[in-house]
Amino acid sequence: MVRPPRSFPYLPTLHLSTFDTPISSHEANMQYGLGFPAGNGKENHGWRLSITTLVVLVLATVFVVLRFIARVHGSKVGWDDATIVLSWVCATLPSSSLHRWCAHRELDADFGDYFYFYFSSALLLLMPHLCFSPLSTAMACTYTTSLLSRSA
Amino acid sequence: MHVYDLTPEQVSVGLRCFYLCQIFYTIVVTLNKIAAILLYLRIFITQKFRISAFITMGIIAAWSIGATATTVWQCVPIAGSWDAAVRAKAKCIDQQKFWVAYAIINVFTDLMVLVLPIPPILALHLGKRDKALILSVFLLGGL
Repeated sequence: MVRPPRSFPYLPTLHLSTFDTPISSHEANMQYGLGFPAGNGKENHGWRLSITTLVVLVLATVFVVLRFIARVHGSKVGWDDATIVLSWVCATLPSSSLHRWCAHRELDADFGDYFYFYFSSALLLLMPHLCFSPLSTAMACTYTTSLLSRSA
Repeated sequence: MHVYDLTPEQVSVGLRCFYLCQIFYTIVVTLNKIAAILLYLRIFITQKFRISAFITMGIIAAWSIGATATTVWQCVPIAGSWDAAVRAKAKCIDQQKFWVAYAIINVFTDLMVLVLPIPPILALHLGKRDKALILSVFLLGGL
């Protein structure tokens, strides 16, 4: 069944995203300004925030893993490590799942479209903050553990 | 791109996701503070320190439960947080005041966690340089 195209008068490029025309996530990124500048004449800082989120998301993951490696080699793994993993899950779960949701809009075309659009403009403001929190804690702990194990 | 460029449906979905992130945000902030205190408890074993650490953890846990619950039920029914039609009939808190209060208490509890390891570090039998180095590492968590 072919669904009628939705009209977005405020954003002409979105007319390309009819539901019967499959578009790649890359094309969708270009149109909605997620990950790349939208190129539609509208001022949009969403892509900058999107890149920041992805960078912090990856860094947070790397430092949580580094923290674990430091703890396994330097001392025993404890409740603080379990807490930071839970914190990392709580931070990355909304960020990464929402990102994936947007990238694979075929999961739910209606919701994906709406969400994709809004995501690139406002929601990402919270994402870097969410991911940065476990990142700094994990960084501090990794450094502390390595310092203490060196001096011991 | 501004909020007035969006359709009411888009705003509603965006706000729903924002609502979800607010809840996760309060949980993440709490877990990080508790993780830092649990780390201190593994390093510093004096009874005096343990008592102050547990008191700080209790304050943070109590405040966080309250803050998370307030975030979840910021509007009753909760759909008022993202649905303008429901919001008109819903009972909602003053979000601006709540987030200002949350930020102030957040800074206060951050300071509590930051100050917590300073006395035991200063009591260590180490040189000034080493003490300063360890203090700076612990204060890095304040980022």
